[in-house]
Amino acid sequence: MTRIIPRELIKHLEWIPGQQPPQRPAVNPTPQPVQQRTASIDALVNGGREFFSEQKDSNGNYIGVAVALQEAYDQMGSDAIIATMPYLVAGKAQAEKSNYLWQKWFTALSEENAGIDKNGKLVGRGQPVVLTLHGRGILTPERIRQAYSEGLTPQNAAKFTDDEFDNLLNGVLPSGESINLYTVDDIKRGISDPFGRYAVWMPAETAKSKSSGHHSKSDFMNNELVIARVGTLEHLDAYFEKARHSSNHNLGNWHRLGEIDFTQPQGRVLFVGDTSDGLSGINYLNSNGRFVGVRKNA
Amino acid sequence: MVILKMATKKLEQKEMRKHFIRTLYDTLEGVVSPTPYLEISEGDNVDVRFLNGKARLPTPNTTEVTVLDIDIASLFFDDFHILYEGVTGVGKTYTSDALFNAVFGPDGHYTIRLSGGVLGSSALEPFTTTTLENGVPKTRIDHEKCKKYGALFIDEINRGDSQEVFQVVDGVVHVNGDTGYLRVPIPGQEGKYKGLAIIAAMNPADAQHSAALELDIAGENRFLKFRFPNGVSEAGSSQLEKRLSGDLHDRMWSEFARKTGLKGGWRDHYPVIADPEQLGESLSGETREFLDVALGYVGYDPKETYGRNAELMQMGGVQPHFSVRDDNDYRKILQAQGTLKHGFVRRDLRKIRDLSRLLSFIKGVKSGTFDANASLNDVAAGIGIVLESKTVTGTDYGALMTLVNDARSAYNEMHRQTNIPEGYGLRQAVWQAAVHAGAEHGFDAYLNTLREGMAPLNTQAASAAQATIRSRVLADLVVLEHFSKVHESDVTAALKAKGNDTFKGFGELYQSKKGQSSIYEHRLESIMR
Repeated sequence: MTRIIPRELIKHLEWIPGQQPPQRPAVNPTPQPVQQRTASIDALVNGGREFFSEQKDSNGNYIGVAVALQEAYDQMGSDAIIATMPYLVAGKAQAEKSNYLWQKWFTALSEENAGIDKNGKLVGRGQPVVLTLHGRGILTPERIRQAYSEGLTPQNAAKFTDDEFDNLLNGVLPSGESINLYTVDDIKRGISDPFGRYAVWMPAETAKSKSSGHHSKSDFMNNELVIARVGTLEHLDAYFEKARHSSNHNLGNWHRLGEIDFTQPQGRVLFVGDTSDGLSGINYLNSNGRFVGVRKNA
Repeated sequence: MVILKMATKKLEQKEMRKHFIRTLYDTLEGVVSPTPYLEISEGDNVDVRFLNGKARLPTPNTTEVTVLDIDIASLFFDDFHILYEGVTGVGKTYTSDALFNAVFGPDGHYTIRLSGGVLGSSALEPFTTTTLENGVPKTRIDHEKCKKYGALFIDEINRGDSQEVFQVVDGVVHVNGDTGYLRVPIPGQEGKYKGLAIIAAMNPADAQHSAALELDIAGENRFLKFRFPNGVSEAGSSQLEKRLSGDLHDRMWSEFARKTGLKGGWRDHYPVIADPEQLGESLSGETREFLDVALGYVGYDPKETYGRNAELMQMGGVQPHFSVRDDNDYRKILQAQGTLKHGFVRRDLRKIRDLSRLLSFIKGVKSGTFDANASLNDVAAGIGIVLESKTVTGTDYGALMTLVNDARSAYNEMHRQTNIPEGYGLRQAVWQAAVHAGAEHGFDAYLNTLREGMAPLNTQAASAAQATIRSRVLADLVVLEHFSKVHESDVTAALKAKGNDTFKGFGELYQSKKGQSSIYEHRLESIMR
C-alpha cells in the first residue's frame, strides 16, 4: 500500500501551469571524456606552424599569450592540435638541433594550476595541490583575457574562481568536458594518451620540494614536477641529452610554487626553453606567446 | 473507540516487549559475560568497528553491540538467522544455550551437533521420528515436534548435509513426500505463526579444524555470519563467576509474570512478543531508496551501474549530464571491491534490511524506546557489516565502509538538495507531487512535475558515488515517465479520482500493467509502496 506523504511537505516539487515546462536537452552537454586527437611526432617536427605574438593592449600591457593562442585556434581550425609540453618535449627529443623546435622558445598548451583541495578530493582535506594540465583546459584565450582584466596574482598567474578549481579537482573543465586525472606514478607506469588532454596532480609539498633551477640528469629525470610536465618518460632521456647545458650538463626546471598563495586558486601556462633553460613555469601570463599548431593526423 | 483500543493494544505489546527483554537481560546477567562484537559510531559519517571482544571507552553517539545483544534481538526477526564462526571454547554454544534455556526451557529448544559420514546426525532429526516397519527403518515428519520448539541451535553446521540444513533454516522440511513447517502458533491469532529461532555455529575451516568445511555460498547467504570474538584475555577472571545455574527458564518467566501480571509460559507470550509484525513497517521510503541506490555503488563497478542507468535514461530520451570518470577515485573503489569474495545477491537485500532493523532495535533497547525504526545510519551499518561478511580473510575493513559512507553522503546531499521530508524517498516524493499536480491540472502537469523532479539531479556530479546514485534515481524516474506515457489514458483517468483515491487508482493501474515488462517491477515497486 502506498504510504502517502503529506502534500504540503512536497508541494514545492509540483509543476504549476504558467511555469516554464522543463526542457529536454537537444544536444549532449554531458561532461564526456574529451576527444583525444593524435598527431605524430614527425608532424610536429616537420610540419608545425608557429603562432607568435608580442602584442600589447592599449595600456601597454603584454597580451601576447592570449593573442597567439587565439590565432592558433583561428587559423588552424577546430581540427588542429596545439602542442602541449609533452608533445613539444617529444618533438625536441626527436628533432635535429637545427630544427625550428631548437631555435626558439615556445609556449605550451599546458597549464600549471594550484589551489587548496577543500574537500580532500585528491590530497588531504584543506591541503594545497598542484595540477599540471595538458591540452585545452581552463586557460582559453577568452579566459586569459578575462584574467588580464581582473588582474593577475603577484606572480603573474590567472586567478581562478573556487568553482573552476573545485571542478578541476573532479576532472571537470569549464567547457563541461571531463578529463582524466593522473598521479605521477601513473605517468611513470605509462598512460595511453601522453600527448592528449589530461591533468597530473601532486601534493603541493612534493612540487615545492623540488628546487626551481637547473638540475643534474638524475635529479631531473626523477623530479616529480618534471614528470608531470612531460607526461611520459619515453622521450625524457633523449630530450635531456639534447637540451642539457654543454658544459655543466644540467637542465632547467623552473617554478614559482614556493612563492604563491595557494588559498587563491590560480593557473599559468608553461613554456619550453630553446636550450638548457628547459621547462618553465615562471613566465608571466602577461607576456609574449608562441604556440605551435599541427594538423590532425598530419 | 476502535482506534483507542488499537493504540492501547500496541502499547501493551511494546510494554510486554520491554519487560521481556529487560527480564531476559537480568536473568542472563550472572550467566553470560558480555562479549563486545562491534561498535557503531554516528556523526557526519557512520562507522562500524569490529571489537573482537575488546570494548572501548564509551563515547557520545556510539553504540556497543555485544554477542548477547545480537542473539536477543534476533529472536524478534524470523528471517534473521545467525551463524557464529569461531574456534572451540570461546563460548558460541554456551551463550546460545543460556539464552534458549532462559526463554524456552530445556523442552522448548533443541541443540544438535552435526557430523558427517553415513551415521552422522541430521539437521532434520529434531523434527522427525524413525520407526521400524517390517524391519526397515522409516523416517517420517513428526508434526508435533515441528511446532514443539521455539529455537534450535545447530552446532558444527558446516559438517552436515547442506540440503537438510537449508530446509531447516528455511522453516519447511520435506521427508518422504510429507511437508513440515517449523513454527509456533501465535496465541489468539488464527493462522499466524512465529518462526523457529535458529542460531548456528561452526569452527573455522582451517588447519586446526580439519573436519570442518567452508560453508558454501548458498549456506552463507542464508545466514548472517559473525566471527565470534574470543574475549577471554580481555574479560579475564570476570568470567569465572558466570555459570549456568538453577532454573533459568523458571526464573525468567516468574520474574516476567511478577512485572507484568501475566501468567503462562513461553508458548503463551513469546510468540506474541517476538512476532516480527509487532515491530511495524520494515523500512521507510528513504531507507528503502538508499538501499536501492547504494548497492549499485558499493557492491558493483560504479561505471557499469552508471552505464546501465544511463542506457535506460537515454532510452527514455534523457541525456545524462554527468558520468563516472576513470580517475584515481574510481580505481580506489575497484580496489576496495576487489576484496569481496562475491557480490550482492537477492538474499543480501533482506539480510541488510533485517540487520538494519536489528541494529536499530538493539539501539532502541539500549535507549529504552524498544522500537526498530531503522535510520539511514542503520542501513549504512547493515550494508557495511554484510560487505564485511563477504570479504576474503584478512581484508582491511575500512575501505569498504568508506564506500558506504560515500554513498550515504551522496544520497543525503541529493535528499537535502531537493528538500524531501525525512523518512520519504526522493522518487516517491517526486511521483506523489506529480500525482497531486496532475490531479489538479491534468496529465501535462503530472509529466512536467516528473521532469522538474529530474532536472536538479541531472547536473555535473562531484564524485563517482554521486554520479552512480543519481543515475539510479534518474533512471527509475525515467522508467516511471515512460510507464505513464504508455498508459496516458489510464493515468489521466486515475488522476481524476478524488483525494487519496488517486494514489489507489494509480497503484491499481501499476499492479495491472507491471507485468508488461520486468523493468517496471524492478524500478517502480519501491516508489509505489
